[in-house]
Amino acid sequence: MRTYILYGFGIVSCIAGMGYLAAEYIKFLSEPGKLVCLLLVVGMFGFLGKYFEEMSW
Amino acid sequence: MRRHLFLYLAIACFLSLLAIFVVDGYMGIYDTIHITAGEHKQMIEPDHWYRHRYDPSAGTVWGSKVFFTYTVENRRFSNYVTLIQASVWQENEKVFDLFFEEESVEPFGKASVEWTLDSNELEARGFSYGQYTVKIEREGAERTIRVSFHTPEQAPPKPPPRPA
Repeated sequence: MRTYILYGFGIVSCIAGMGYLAAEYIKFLSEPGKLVCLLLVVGMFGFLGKYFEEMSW
Repeated sequence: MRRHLFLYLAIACFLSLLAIFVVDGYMGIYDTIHITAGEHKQMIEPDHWYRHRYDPSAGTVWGSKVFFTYTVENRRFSNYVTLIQASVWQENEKVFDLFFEEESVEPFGKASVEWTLDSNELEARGFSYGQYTVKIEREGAERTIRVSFHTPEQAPPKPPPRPA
């Protein structure tokens, strides 16, 4: 149980760190770059969802 | 392979995201300002305008000059043609133009221009020591720098000489 709590803490920290870096660096992107990033994020989460669905999660 | 296809696609999207952050962050038009006021030199880097809300400032003694070097870097695949205009302002009114020229910067090239703000020229126009704003304009950007001129009496006292 303790291991899963540590995993959860690690995953949340990673997502928070990535989110912070993305929020900082997004300021330097052009408008088309931001749009492509948005599409890629949608695609990434969509494919991840599909992957987990196929793995019967 | 088919089993992990969607995982690979998600990883490809993530790597593309990183690539866009690096490439798009690098591409664009960047400007750097070098200011020499008295013996004090400073460089205002392009990311200053994204990171800080305050305008950079420079100061020197009334009667001397402030030297500016403005560098435009074109990190694009096409030529960048712009009118570079620098002017000095006080209390929201333009005092005079310092520089006015059209520049063409080649792809992945740089162009530098220079001008000087001379306090004697300000004095000749009836202005006195105090704060001024130097406004630099080019296509798509406007930069403002506060320049203050003070009298020698207003200057910070010199530190006492160190004992031998």
